[in-house]
Amino acid sequence: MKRGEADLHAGLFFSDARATYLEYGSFLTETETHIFAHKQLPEIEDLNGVAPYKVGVLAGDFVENYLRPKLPRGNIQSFKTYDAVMSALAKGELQVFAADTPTGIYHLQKSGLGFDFRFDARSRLYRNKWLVAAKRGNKALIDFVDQGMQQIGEDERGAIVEKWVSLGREPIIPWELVIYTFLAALGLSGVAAIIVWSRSLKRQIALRTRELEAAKTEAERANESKSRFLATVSHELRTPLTAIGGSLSLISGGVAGEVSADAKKMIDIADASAKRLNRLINDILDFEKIRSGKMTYQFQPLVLADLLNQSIEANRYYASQYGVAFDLKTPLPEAVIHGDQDRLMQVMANLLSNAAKFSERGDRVEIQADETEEGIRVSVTDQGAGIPETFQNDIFGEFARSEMADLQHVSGTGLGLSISKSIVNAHHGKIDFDSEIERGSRFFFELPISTGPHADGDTKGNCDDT
Amino acid sequence: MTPELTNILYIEDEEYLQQIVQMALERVGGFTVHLCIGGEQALAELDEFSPDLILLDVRLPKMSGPEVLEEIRKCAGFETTPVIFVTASVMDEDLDAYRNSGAIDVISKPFDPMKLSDEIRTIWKRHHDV
Repeated sequence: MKRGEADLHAGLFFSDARATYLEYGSFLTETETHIFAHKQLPEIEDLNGVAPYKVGVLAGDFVENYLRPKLPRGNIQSFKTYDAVMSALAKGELQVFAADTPTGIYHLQKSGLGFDFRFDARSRLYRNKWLVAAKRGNKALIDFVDQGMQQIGEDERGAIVEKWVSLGREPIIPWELVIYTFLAALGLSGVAAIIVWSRSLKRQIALRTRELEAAKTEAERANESKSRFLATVSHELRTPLTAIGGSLSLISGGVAGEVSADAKKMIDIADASAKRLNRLINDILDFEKIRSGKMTYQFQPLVLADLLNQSIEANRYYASQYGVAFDLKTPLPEAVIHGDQDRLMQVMANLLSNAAKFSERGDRVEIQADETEEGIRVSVTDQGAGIPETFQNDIFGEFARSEMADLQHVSGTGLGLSISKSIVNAHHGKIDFDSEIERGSRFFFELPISTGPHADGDTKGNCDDT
Repeated sequence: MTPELTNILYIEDEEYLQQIVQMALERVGGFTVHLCIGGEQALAELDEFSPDLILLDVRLPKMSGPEVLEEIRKCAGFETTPVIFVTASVMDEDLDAYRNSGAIDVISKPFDPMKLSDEIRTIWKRHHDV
């Protein structure tokens, strides 16, 4: 306040020296000032008793000015803050200090030293009034505060004092009583805390609910924007990809004139890579369609044997690239299923390409169709390394790629099986696998003979896999 | 009896695709191809070229594919000329909308130009068989 950093002090002792630069106002309460001594020291009965010790005080505090004339110079040690006093006490550098009772107790409790120090009636130095104070000359502020103080009734004032400086009102405070009071207050404040806590909990729940609703809206918006982004990107990717793939296809097909054998080899690599890029884009788009519930199906009666033969034909490329043989067993020539031709071809492409990718050159990949109790089962069996047990649970997950796929540099987004599962589910079927390490894997999907609501000519249905 | 398919008008703003499709349809399919970069040019040159079939890109600057189709239908002599949309969209709702806007089918990008002529012949035949 001397430096002008504060305009008002809520409670200060009165002294003539202070009155030269402070304007005092309303009486707040009375309190005492004590010598606090470590409980291992002999009891201090009067000021003579502190002679062997240094007494810590806050620099400029009322008590410092009180003690200065009464004690030898070297007996008083000033500290800039109470934290510094407490720190010296904690380190054992100081064993005695003097302070207003509420202030002393507060700082002892705060620094965890509460049980190590004591004070009683005999260690009391004086009793004095706490007054509101402002800078000298600022009478208007003091008057204003006084008016406010007068509005506070006796009871209310009592409650305020009780809350903030109650210990100071009791002239003799045995330490045990302080502890019991403290514990009792703790119990009461526990009850109060529960009430306050439950109220604050309600407020927090309401706040969190609002936050969650906002987050949900934001997430939905982000999701929609992501879908639009994907659709746009895919469009922009597919147009140049048509030009790249188209050019390569025309050159490779000999339409653009003769090319050398070496050039043909390079063209085929570029062509295969463009096709691969196209498959990746399609996978990502399908994945997004499934996620946003926009995957639709054209259901119609399909001859199973035709579907299997067409699938094998369409994926010959993988067989030759990975040096494996596709071998179709028992194609059930009579069997007719209800399904979406393109989507089921996609499932087959996924199973066949996976089987080829994870086979050794010269291996056989067996495609088999069986009748089961529920319908028809199509299985694709390879003689590859099998699926590591650690990966088996994740295999139908999104972006699922085994370490083996990385080790063998097998390409793919890890979306194929996830998409296949959605497609099979939409046909009211199921997809699964069994696998044995070093012996191979068998992936199969089962379709019911009747595919429920889609069976009787319903040509369109949303994917119901979420 | 399916009429013969000879003249194909391709409306596409991407120059590279124009060249690829022209080469594919002329050399692989044996058709005569006329290229336009947009709706305005196509409408101006319709009479002159008199196409049997129109390949129409959906995403065109100024007038969109469906808008161009609407204008073509107003031109005397082209009220029923078969139109096939070409699109890079994969959304089923888009594809359905294009099919229902008066086109006989939709071809998706990317397509294989080596197979494009066959695909168009199949669509042409199916359209006339019905």
